[in-house]
Amino acid sequence: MQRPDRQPADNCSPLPGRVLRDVVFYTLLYTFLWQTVGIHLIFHGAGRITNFPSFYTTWRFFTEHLSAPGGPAEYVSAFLSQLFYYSWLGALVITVQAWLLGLCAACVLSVAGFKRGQLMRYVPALLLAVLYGRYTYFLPITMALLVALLCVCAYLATAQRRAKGSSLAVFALLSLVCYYGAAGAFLLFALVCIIYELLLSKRWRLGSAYTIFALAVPFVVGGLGFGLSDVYSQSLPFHWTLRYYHSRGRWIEIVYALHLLAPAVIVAGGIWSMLKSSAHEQHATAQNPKTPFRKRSGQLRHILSWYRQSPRLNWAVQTVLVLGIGAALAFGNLDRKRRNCLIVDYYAYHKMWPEVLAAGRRQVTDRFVMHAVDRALYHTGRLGDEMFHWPQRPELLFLTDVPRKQAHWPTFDLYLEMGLLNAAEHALMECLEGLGDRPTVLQPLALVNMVKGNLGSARVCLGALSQTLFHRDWAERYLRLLDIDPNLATDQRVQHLRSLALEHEFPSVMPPAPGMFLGLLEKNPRNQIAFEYMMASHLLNKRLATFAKYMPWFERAGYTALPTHFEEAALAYVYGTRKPLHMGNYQPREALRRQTESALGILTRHGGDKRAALPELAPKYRHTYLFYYLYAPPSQEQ
Amino acid sequence: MSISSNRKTIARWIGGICAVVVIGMCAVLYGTSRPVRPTEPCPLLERRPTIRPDYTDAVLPPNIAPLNFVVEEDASDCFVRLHAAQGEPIEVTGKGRKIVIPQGPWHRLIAANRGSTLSIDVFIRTPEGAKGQTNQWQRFQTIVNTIATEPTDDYLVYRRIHPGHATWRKIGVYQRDLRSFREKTILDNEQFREGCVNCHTFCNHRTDKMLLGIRSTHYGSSAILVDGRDARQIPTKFGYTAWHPNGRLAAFSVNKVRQIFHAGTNEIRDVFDFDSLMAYYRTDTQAVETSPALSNKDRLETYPAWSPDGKYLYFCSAPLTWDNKETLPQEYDQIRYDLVRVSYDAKTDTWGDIETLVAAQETGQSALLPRISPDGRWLLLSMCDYGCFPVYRASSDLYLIDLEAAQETGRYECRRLDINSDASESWHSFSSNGRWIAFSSKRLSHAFTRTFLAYLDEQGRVHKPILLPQKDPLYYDSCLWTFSVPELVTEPVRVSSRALARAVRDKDARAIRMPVTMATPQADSGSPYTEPLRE
Repeated sequence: MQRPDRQPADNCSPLPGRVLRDVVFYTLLYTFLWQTVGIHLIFHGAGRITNFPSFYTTWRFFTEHLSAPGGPAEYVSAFLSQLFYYSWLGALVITVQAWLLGLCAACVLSVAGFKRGQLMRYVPALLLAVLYGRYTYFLPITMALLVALLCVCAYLATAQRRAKGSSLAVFALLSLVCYYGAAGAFLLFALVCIIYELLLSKRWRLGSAYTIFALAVPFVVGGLGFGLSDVYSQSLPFHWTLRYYHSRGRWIEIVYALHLLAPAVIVAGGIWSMLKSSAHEQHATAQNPKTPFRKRSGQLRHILSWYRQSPRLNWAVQTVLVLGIGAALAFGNLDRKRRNCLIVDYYAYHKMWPEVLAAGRRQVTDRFVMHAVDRALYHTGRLGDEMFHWPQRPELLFLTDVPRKQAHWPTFDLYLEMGLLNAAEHALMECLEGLGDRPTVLQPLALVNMVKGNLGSARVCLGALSQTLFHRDWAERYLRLLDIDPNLATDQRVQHLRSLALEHEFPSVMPPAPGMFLGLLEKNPRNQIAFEYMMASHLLNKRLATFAKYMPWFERAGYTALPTHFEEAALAYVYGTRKPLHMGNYQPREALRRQTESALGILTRHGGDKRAALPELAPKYRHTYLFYYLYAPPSQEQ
Repeated sequence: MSISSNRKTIARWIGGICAVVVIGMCAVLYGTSRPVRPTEPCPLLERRPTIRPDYTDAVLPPNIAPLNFVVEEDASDCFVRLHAAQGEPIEVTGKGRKIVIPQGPWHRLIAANRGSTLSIDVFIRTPEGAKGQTNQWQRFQTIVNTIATEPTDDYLVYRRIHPGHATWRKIGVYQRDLRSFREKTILDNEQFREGCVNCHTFCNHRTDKMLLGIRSTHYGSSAILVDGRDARQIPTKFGYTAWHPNGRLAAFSVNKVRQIFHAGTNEIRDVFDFDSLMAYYRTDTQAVETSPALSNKDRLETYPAWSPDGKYLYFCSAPLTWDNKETLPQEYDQIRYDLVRVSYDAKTDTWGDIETLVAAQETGQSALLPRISPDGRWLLLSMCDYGCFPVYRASSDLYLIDLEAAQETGRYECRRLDINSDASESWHSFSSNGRWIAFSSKRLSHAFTRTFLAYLDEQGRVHKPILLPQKDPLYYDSCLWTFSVPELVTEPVRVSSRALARAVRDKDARAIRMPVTMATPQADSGSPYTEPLRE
């Protein structure tokens, strides 16, 4: 039986050099994940990452996971996923996982006889960098993969030394460990072991026995032992949810590649060893002292020989190669568009409005981003002055043109701010179903219920939150507050939201229903966000007559000056209808009047032909309401 | 030093560390689990303790799992003694304030005291210095519960879902062994690529005949019929279903259900049938049929329930007062359902005329979800201010009709039960012996429906209900699931979830012909209305 070589793994680079390269590589990977990718964005998810797990610090959660195969890996990955809350910590988790996968890859490469192919051990890390740079979430699967590869390494380490009986015993033991720890990923472990025994060790009987064992374990242990209907759980990248939900299966090919790496290396190693041995036989008959394949030219041989004899050069070239390919792959695959969308949503969730506007500039074509931008404009007091500096459509205000499932997450907070508590609660309930019981959903859901006085439901949400890692304090503070002040009279935010809450009934097929704004303003005339969104909605839908009807409400809402776009709209109404418009105590701005007249003059000069007037109007008036009024396409709402 | 001696040293170190860890853990476990007993006699407080869930003054099934609870008192230590006339008392030291009762002694104690009372003595030791009290044990007045003579059925089948309805992320029908805390999945939507599973219906409280409603974007809508150990698909959508006691036919409603949203009320959602009718499926001919009495075009029919003798089909019916079946009528809050029944002769497959038993016009309420006790004496129903979906109406309460008395007087008097709360009560069912009612209530939290069990005595009094017990008494404090449609059955479901899922995925199931048509929209008709799941 031919044994693979067990020489030092990377004989091209001495150990300190390898360690140094590892340190440099993984430090750069860590920095990339922390600073460039921003792992906290994956935790946040923005309603786009729908398979992020929840984690509770309870004994029940722990035992539930331990009670089924695959549960331990799921539990660990659920815990580690929570660390994504902090980008630096999440990046550390992924880097450590990448490093461990790299060690496993090095072990497999070594056993397969690829002493000179040790640079391949960085492949898992690079694939992970690409995966996270694409803002996908596969940690439970890669964690199961890691468990399987660790078992592979443990097996290979023992299989090279021991006799058949011992190998079988070790395989059986590791199979049980691997299946219990990682469920479906056990198949990968078994596959690698079988290929190893068949191709490298040439122990056919053992390989056949392993095959039978591998087929039997999931059904015996999972099906009969644990009574599972899905004996492979979700730890393999073939689960239907990954194919069914587009958001979960994005870039699944990379995960396939990660899984295929170890079997492919062992297969290649086996083929290589067979080729080598047949070449040696030919060599023995032909007395050919050179390589089995072809004789290299003298010059190339000289260069290679010089290169091999210079360890530092060798190290430097390999290091540059690895880092160069790594950087190209990581940055080349960074999904900047998705990143911007996640960043904008993250800032919006955390009410970092100037940051929303800054990040929004980079992604003005995305409707979710523009929805957040409108909110940011309102919160920075610029909606009425600058909204037409951004692309606008009526549907952006409440995302009425996207599938409802996608609109729940980005709109719940807007509803809450306006006082549309039921709409917010409904959106959050759907988020709870669609995104899972994540703290970012439970926290606002608890708040809505506290505002509505549904303390039972609020306590349930707070109870769940108090079992999480990073939202525990917030939940416990409110649970204590509810004990001493059930009406939450001392909580300013709750009281403020109650002062806005809609009381009139507007049954509707889909919130927000027409008339809700008026209901909100009837309850609280100083509900500025409801008022501004209502007026903005009229502007965007080009309902100038309705807009003009509510002009007097600006004073009631407490505006000291009329925002620019609203005044532009008033002027458009006046010039369009030739009707006077009472502007209350607001002084009309002469500059705006001149601007409107000038723009209308250009239009008149082109005989009212909007298309002809466009080149002249666009450069100067692109950011005015009049321009939107003239050129924006008709909305779906209209 | 040689390599082997190094290995031995490392192994010794590892062994030593492991031993220290194990000993340490044992010490910690011993320290935390050491029983803390009160020093008696101790002062008696003049009130009963507050415990959660509220297991006081209730009637308990003699086969129920331990009623674990939390002592809601300011205490550093708790101690509980459960005792009754017969059998060994059970003493439990609290884990914090949690009282977790051992299952074996609990079952022995309550089984030995059927028809008698179960007393619970709660002792607490206040934290040192708290409210100026000394650190000594105190005892509260005894909590007394009654143990019923009649057991409830051993199994409860319910649906568990998050209270969102658009995504179908995780929905399942589960079976709880009421004697313990074991829960088993009957079928969840993981096994058929997303979808809704609901409307589980059993024949005569047994599981050999069962129907499960399925809606799936991938596999379509169907009903799964379990007959003995076989499961097969009936490729049409069954709404609310009721088995005839002979087990050879099942009446079901076909509903064009639509959901709307409220902006200013506490409940955010509401559900209406824009159209509905009743039909029945015959297992022998595998055909669906209906009769004019069941499918009046001018009325909305729903919620079938058979009388135990199979001679009457009870259901709810409301006039269809608006023309456009695609839109919500302006007077949606005037839609109220009557309770009606129609006679049926199973031998000749003939239907009689409709009798109105409870007219909405008289009660001013919508009568929904009739369920009849197995002895045929009692009819339990929900009544709410309007509509057809009581779980979304806070006004929904449980009412009882004495059918025997009604037979004599000709008047179907609805008696509101004392067990109702300000929140919605609905989805009720009887046990096979008719002595127990399982129902859903939102009394603890308006969003998350919970299951309660209440005892119905021979006089028709329904006693204080108990919350379905859980191993962890704090389970419901953070439970984000709603439990709905609790159905009591005498035996476990014997068909595996794998077989049920196979039936759902069966694309070769023979289509059945519907005898009537209604304006049920196609799945992708683009209707702006969202169809809710049954909550």
